[in-house]
Amino acid sequence: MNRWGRYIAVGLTALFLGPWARAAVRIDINHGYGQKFPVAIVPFKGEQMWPPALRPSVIVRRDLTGSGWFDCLPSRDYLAKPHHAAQVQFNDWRLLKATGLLIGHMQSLNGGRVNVAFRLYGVDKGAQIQGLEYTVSPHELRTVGHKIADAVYRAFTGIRGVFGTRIAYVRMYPRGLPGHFLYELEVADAEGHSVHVILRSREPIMSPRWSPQGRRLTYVSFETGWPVVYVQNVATGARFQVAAFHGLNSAPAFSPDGTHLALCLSKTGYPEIYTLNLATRQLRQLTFGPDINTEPSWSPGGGHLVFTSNRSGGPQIYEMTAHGHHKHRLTFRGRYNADASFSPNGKWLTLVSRRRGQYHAAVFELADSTLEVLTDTSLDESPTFAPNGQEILYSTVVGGHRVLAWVSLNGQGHRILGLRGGDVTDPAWSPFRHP
Amino acid sequence: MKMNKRLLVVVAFAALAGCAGKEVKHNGASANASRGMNTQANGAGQGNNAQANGMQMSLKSFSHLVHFRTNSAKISGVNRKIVKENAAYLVAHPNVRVRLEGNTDERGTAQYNLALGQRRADAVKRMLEVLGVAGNQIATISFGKARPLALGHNPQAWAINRRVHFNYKYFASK
Repeated sequence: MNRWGRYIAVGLTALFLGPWARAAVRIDINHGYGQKFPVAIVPFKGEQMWPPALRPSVIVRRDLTGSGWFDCLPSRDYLAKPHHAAQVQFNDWRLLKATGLLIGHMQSLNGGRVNVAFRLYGVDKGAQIQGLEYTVSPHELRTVGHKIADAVYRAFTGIRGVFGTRIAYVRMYPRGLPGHFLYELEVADAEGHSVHVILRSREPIMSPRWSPQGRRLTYVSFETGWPVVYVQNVATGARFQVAAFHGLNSAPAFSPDGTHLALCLSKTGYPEIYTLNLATRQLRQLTFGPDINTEPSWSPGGGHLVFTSNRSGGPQIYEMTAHGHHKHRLTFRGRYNADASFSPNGKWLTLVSRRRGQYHAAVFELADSTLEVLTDTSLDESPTFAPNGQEILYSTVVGGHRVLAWVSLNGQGHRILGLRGGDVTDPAWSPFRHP
Repeated sequence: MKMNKRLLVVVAFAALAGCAGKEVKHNGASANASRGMNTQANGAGQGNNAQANGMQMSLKSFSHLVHFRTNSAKISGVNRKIVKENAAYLVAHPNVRVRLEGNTDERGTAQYNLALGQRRADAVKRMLEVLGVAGNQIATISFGKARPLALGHNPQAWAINRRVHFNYKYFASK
């Protein structure tokens, strides 16, 4: 585009798409256009005595609806409410055009434990797909609900569900004078429920990232007054300092084998990427030069890193080997591409891309270098892949507050995570938990 | 001696302005500022201009905030005057330490903004050192986008938040 053409384009953009022209940002919740699986979820026998948040049918319904893949038929339309295999009449469910049917029951046992059993049917074939039974203590009931949702999700989509995974994020609340906040590092389930506060501070907390097994978090905390990178065991709370150099200590990310961190330090005077051996504490500098080099992210195999650098003028995504060799630029479209991270299969990156002054979560396909914007929102940040690669979680501004939102890559819609209060930033999706 | 100092300041500004790509304008501005200090320092007796000027300053008599353009760490326009006033104060009070706190607006990614905030704080530090402030009086830190002063999500709020704060209280309270 020639110079004048560009000015005209920018002018028109400002008129029609400028951030101030758009008073309210709208996110379509489950307004997808693809095929959805209609499923019937019968309230489980015996679940009425438990609060809604612990009832299996309620958890499964919310999980499946939220995934964008399922149309959960309303239970008021059901002709029968079976709880056991012998009560199921498939013709009832064919009339409703259900393709899947979930039934079950739960029962309190002596000693406070709870038994939960479910059966999942394929209505078209009139056959059971799966049936399982769990005996757990009451505080594990949500986990059981997510496991049942995972089973239904996998049976129909063929993809492993992420309902049992967790997210880490930072929440901030204004406190006292302007520019002062209370910061909380929190971990929740992928739905934003069962919130645990990992760290609370009057100084900023930033950029949590999970270890490959999902047991540890690394993050930046300013609680000493200066930025320090920590590694913390989520279950025990035990933690240790791994980087507290002069200048920036930022953007830590675990290598896929868990032995190293990649991070950004500015102890030389410039923000550069390093790897840190967590056992020996040996540092290795991978980038050199007076530009900004930050936001390192490992390839799933651990052989490569992508990072953000402004060596060409503005921020763009570059790739190099884990030893700092063969640096080359990946993104050329647009003048702001940053904070890339790999999809679990290593074929895509998710990143933040600016288009016409708006910052969008986007996906970059490594094979053919295409860059596709995923959102209508304008202040997106920190996009992170779900461990099954089907969804991206990111932070954006809706209704004047920062919230976490999901966008599914199958085009089945966007939705906002139900975290209420404060501004929610810096999400990181956990890997699958390994039992 | 007076001439030498003035010359040094002007040369230093020429160097800085060279980086900013607006040599002539900034050069002129700094020469004016030096002349201003000279006249004010007339009654103060010996000592260098900046120091004499700085001795009369209280912390409340000048701004502790400098602002930046989007995605930039260049100090320009009125912000250069603010850095000079802070420099004069710090030269006159060699026991005072300041923490330069770099901040960005909310647009873009958190860790890139953290690096950008560090670049802003470092740019102010370099200008202070050129103006004669001792390196050990200055510490830098970046908060990126994590400590916005204005909470709005609009260009006015963003302009307020793209800042380096001269925090004189941080070390005073230690």
